Amino acid sequence: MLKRKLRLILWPWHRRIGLMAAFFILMLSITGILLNHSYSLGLSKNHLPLSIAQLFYGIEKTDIISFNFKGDWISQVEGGQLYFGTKEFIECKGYLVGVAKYDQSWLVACNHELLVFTADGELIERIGKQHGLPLPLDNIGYCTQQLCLQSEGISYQLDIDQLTWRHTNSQASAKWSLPGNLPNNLRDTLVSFYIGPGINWERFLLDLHSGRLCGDWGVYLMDFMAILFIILGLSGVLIWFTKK
Amino acid sequence: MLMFKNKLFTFLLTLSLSIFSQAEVISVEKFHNQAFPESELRWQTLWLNQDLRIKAEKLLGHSFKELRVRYFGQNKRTAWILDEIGKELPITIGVVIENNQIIDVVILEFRESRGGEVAYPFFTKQFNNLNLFINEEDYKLSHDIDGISGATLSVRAVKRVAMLALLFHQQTNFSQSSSQ
Repeated sequence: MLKRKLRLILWPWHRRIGLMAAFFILMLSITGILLNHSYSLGLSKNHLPLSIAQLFYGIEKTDIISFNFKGDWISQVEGGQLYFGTKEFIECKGYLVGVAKYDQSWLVACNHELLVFTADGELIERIGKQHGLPLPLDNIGYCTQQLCLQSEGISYQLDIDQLTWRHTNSQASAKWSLPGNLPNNLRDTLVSFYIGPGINWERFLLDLHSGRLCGDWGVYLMDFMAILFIILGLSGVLIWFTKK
Repeated sequence: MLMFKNKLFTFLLTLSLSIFSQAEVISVEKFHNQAFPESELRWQTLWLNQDLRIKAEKLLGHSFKELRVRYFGQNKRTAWILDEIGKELPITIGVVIENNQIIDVVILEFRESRGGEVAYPFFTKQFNNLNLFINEEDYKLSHDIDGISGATLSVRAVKRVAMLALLFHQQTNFSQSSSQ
């Protein structure tokens, strides 16, 4: 009689707890099996897609400014390092504001200096305050096919050979360099240069398994679930014996 | 008592020099006018070959990536504006050279919080009439420069730029005309 009464109390709770725990049992079982075979599956060598890493690990979106010049991309990551495609240049002072081409050389304008590169990406010179360059630079482009700079709303015609700049009024006909949307694959590569290789699948699965993926509350949730599993196990055993 | 007054005076003088040294910025035009009075501002270009770049890097003790350097030149005189990091920030230094000798060193802009004393004539005048000694790829100025306590890195930066300007001057046509 007592056994029957106990079984009647335990059975509905066992079912409820079983339903609550089902998802976590499945998740822990699957992640556990995968982690057991982490080496053979190469989980530590493969990395999460950047979008997932950014979503779960709070990695902030990397600020990239890019300019496309006749198919070539020049970018600046987080206001520092410059890249020609995925090839690393040097750092420039201030944010990248524009790119122009003159003969065989590239002119890269940042807020506080103008960089001149060869077609191969070798630095020819840095032109800045020490040359009397009007700063901060707002943009670079062409005014009636001549190189043009813009600083604090004023346009200057630039002679890079003589290193002179004179005020020009050809604002209306000016074609300023405009930032473009970097292709995703190129963007991901530059971001990976900045934040490193990222998070591997083994780390992700370990954090999912332990609940750390959701911070402290995730760990407490997994502790709570572990207690439920214990209750589930004990209630299952008791129900088995009371049935006999 | 007199000694205390002297120390206090020295302290206040150093303090005021440090404070005021950060404020003054000399423009390129002003520097050019000092070096070449009443002449038009016109930049010259020195292209650096591999050999010169290696020499410049050895002299500076760090990489020198630029392929060309701008300067002013007239007759036997050249004037160089070069940036060199003292401790953390670049110091913009102007060096005027004639007949392979320094005739003036000017600090155009000093950005660090300490060591601004290098901008003052009591220090920069030491460079006047000095030239470059090259001894088995070791570069030295023809006379020692007295340091300034608390400004060791800034002093080093100015010395390096002075030597670099002398080295660059030797590569220009203005230097060749001086030897003729």
